[in-house]
Amino acid sequence: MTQRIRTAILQVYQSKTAFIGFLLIVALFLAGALAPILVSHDPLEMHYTKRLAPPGKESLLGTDQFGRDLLSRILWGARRALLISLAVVILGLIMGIPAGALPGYYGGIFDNLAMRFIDAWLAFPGILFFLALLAALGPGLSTLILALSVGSVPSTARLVRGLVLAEKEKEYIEAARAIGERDSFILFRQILPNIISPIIVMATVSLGNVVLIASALSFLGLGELPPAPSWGLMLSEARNFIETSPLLAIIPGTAISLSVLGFNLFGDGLRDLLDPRLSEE
Amino acid sequence: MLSFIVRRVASLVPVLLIVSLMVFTIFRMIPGDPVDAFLGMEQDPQVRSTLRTQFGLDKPLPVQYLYWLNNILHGNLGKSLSVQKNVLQLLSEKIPNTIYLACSSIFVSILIAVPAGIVAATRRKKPEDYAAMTFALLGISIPGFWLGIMFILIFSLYLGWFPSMGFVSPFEDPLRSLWHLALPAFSLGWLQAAILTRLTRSSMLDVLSREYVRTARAQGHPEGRVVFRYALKNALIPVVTVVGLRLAALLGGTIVIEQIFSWPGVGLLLLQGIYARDYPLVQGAVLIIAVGFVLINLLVDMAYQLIDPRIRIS
Repeated sequence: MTQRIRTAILQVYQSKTAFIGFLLIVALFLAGALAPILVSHDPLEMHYTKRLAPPGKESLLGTDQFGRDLLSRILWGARRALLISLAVVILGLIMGIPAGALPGYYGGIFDNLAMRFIDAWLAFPGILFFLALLAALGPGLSTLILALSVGSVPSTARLVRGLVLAEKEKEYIEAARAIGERDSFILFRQILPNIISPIIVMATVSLGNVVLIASALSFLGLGELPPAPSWGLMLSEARNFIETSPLLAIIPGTAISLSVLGFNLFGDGLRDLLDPRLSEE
Repeated sequence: MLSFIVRRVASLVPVLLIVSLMVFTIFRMIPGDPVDAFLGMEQDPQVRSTLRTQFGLDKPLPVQYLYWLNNILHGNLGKSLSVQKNVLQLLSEKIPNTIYLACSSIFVSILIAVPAGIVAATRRKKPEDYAAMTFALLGISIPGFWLGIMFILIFSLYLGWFPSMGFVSPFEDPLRSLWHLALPAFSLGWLQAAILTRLTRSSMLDVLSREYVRTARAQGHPEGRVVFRYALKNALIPVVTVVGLRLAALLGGTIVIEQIFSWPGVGLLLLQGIYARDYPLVQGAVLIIAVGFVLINLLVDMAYQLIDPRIRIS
């Protein structure tokens, strides 16, 4: 495994696009982690005398309609975007892996019922599910994370189930059964480590998707709430000032796009390296 | 064939039941009694208890679900709170506008993607190919809602070429209608165009490496004919498939785009319902969009069986 990771890192470095993706992700992580050090302005601090100021010495990217520093809001926004997507993807995996692994491993009518349910769930368009859930539960950071992670369960479960189904037929599993290992040991300690690569690829691409969907929902007023420095919210607020201060809309959108691009490029690269079977071409 | 259709339609029943169960469950999660949510400001206890009985809230949850399902099957989606109208009637007024936008955006995306994909495949590893692939990559990374705003900024506010909002029915004034349609259709079609460009390219590359193409070239057919007459037809099969599959996914995308361009479709209606806490309207819209999604997938699926009999065997 470590050898594989080492060659993978080397190959990521050699693949130009994956490396660009990697750099974008590193930049995003650095922006998020170092936001308190990089900028001295409080992202929530309002200055009514400096509203909608153009870029200048004091505010590198200018200020918004409440005189808040755009650069610090963008950097703090990176932190929020990252925390949200990591939380959503990790929670989604915690729920989705057992939801797919157990039906796949035990099979039979349990599997059949679970898959029927998951297929029907997947027939429910994603954004609609999130909108409905957030309309019912109300907007906010915790409901946003909850909705997005629950929404990722069916696709994760389907992927994991397929992988488990293929892996459990292999000889080493038969051997493990023959020597009387417990099911939970076989499933989580033997099968899971062997099918983890495609799951990692999916999780990486999901990180980007979550950034995208979370911004879209915040943009629609159903995700994060003002005055949070959320990229989606910033974009939605900027619409009213787009003619006079287009930067307010251009910058958050660029931040969202670059983050998603980073995860997409890196995810594609990882897929080629870790799991050539899934590669598109 | 008939038995296939019957089987396929029958398989729809459990899916629709689960979808309706999900919608029911989600809207029972609203904090407090649904009557509070559905009634809003109305305080009269008489009205409340009448409504409780009418909603069947004095009964256990499974009975409530059946009660609700029964109402839906009779075409009763309830009455909107913010607009004093029947939910089903409100929705049916908006559905054509959403379909209009979704179909136009598919058209736009095919118009961009197929030529771009062909060029990329025939000029593989040349600047044209890299340009097309860069476009495809940006397409899946740039969110449609941001693109919509940037389109408004550039084409509407700076250049003044297209209106930033509004809707004109194509039956009233076709040209003005297209003029209003341009920006929303491009914003919505962008992502599809990116996906389809990638697909057309890889499918075209695959077909161009087949033996029959080599034979055609060896026989001395001009390259244009080889590409467009022989290769393209086969290369487009997976593209058509994905266009069909994306049709349903587009319904989700329309929600955001309709909001940005104030396009009077189902998505905008749904959002307005959410903002106004008009739960009967939201519940109805969610249910109708979800069912529409399932039905479109079914129709697309059946259309393939008709077009390509090979699928039926597998």
